[in-house]
Amino acid sequence: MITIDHDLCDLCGTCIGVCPVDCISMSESRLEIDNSMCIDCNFCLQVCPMEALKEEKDD
Amino acid sequence: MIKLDWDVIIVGGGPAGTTAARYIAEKGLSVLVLEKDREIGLPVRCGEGVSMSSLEAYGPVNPRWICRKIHSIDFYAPDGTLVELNFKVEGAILDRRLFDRDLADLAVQAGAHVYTRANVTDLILKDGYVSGVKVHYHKQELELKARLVIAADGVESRIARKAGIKTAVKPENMDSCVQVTAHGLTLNPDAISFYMKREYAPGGYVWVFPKSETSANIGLGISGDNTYKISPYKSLMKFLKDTFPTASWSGLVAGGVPTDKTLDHIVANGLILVGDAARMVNPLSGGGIHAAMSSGKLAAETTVLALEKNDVSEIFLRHYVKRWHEKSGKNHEGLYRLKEVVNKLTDDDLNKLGQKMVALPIEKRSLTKIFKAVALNNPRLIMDVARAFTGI
Ligand SMILES: Cc1cc2nc3c(=O)[nH]c(=O)nc-3n(C[C@H](O)[C@H](O)[C@H](O)COP(=O)(O)OP(=O)(O)OC[C@H]3O[C@@H](n4cnc5c(N)ncnc54)[C@H](O)[C@@H]3O)c2cc1C
Repeated sequence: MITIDHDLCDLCGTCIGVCPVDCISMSESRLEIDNSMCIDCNFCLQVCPMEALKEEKDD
Repeated sequence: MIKLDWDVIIVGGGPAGTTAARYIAEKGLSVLVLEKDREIGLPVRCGEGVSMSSLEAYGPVNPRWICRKIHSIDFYAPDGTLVELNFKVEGAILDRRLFDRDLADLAVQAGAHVYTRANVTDLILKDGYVSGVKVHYHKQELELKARLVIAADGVESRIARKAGIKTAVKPENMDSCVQVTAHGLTLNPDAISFYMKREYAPGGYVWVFPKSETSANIGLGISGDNTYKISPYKSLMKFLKDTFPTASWSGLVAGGVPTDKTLDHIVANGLILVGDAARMVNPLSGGGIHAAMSSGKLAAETTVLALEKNDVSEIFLRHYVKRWHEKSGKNHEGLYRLKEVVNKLTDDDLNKLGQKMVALPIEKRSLTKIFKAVALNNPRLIMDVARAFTGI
């Protein structure tokens, strides 16, 4: 699953632009990921300019 | 009391959305722009470079938008060789905070309404047509009806997905960017500079766009398939330390530039996509302000016709698709192919190219010359360059 470091996230929306399943959403003040829809493609991690997204291995 | 029924609702208050709003409102239709951020124009996630001619096409240019006029381009090869190019057209570095705000004001003066802190969460679909939006506004979940919706929601481009359009781009076609505004610089304030060293920006470049005689937007973009080599943030910090060690800076912003081809589907029943949301950024330069305004105006013209005829079917809206392709589409595809060529060049290729170009007098240097030299020097790229140019 993907976790967000809200201190680093700049709310730029770049991750949303590459998410193939549209599981990331954003309001004026917060990014959210619906991990139940996530397919672990990791595209969001790849394009995040601030390294605010991390992958945490599910057990 | 909030009006629940509109002729046109536009999602996103960037240059694409507000330009569309202005030209639609001018024709007397009711238009609402919904922008999720608190203030139009902020934060500025942009190098702010644009050509004067692309501004002039959309009404009088307010001098307060222009921080600097630009007359030349400086390319720095990886080995530091400086290649100057004359600009055939006059460029400008904008103050986008003021620019975006004034574009919204122009739309409002024409009769449009702009709501900020209005986050659109979904489309309303009825009988296969987009017929409105769901929006979170002032602690309420509202359903607003519209005869036509324009998706101008920028790099995220989520709204069109709700109508089944696939807008996500592949990581290799997304430039992951960071930028600061740096002060105390010694620079040529009449030129924009590009640094092509792969170490700093693999699959992209570093830009230095002057905002005054001693300050500039300095940023870089790395294509999403190259960020594993170095993160954009760390790379920019390194570039600043190496190149402008005494500069101070403020205003760190992140952002994404979709450097893809325009989407195949930029209309659906009751829906039009414009600007970054339609993936219309110039894929070679990463500039998208012009395409945003241009597509906003074209979308407005088609919208006015469609509502006059009371036909917002995808088939009717293809009028817009056709006009976009006539105006920019072909050029856009050629630029995409050129981007692919440029991304294949190594530091060594770029150094050789730099040497070739400085040997030419400045008036003889041009982009066509550069790509010819690329083809001659790099047999492996001849076909790519040929393909890029025959497409234009
Ligand atoms: C770092 C960087 C540097 C750049 N430098 C340049 C440059 O020098 N020159 C140039 O021409 N271009 C540049 N660009 C590209 C340029 O900024 C964009 O192409 C341009 O802003 C696109 O305009 P737009 O109106 O399509 O989208 P945007 O300006 O991105 O506007 C979209 C708006 O929609 C809003 N929105 C999104 N989702 C929703 C929702 N669900 N509900 C309500 N509102 C929503 C957003 O908050 C945003 O305000 C740069 C981009 C970046 C990231």
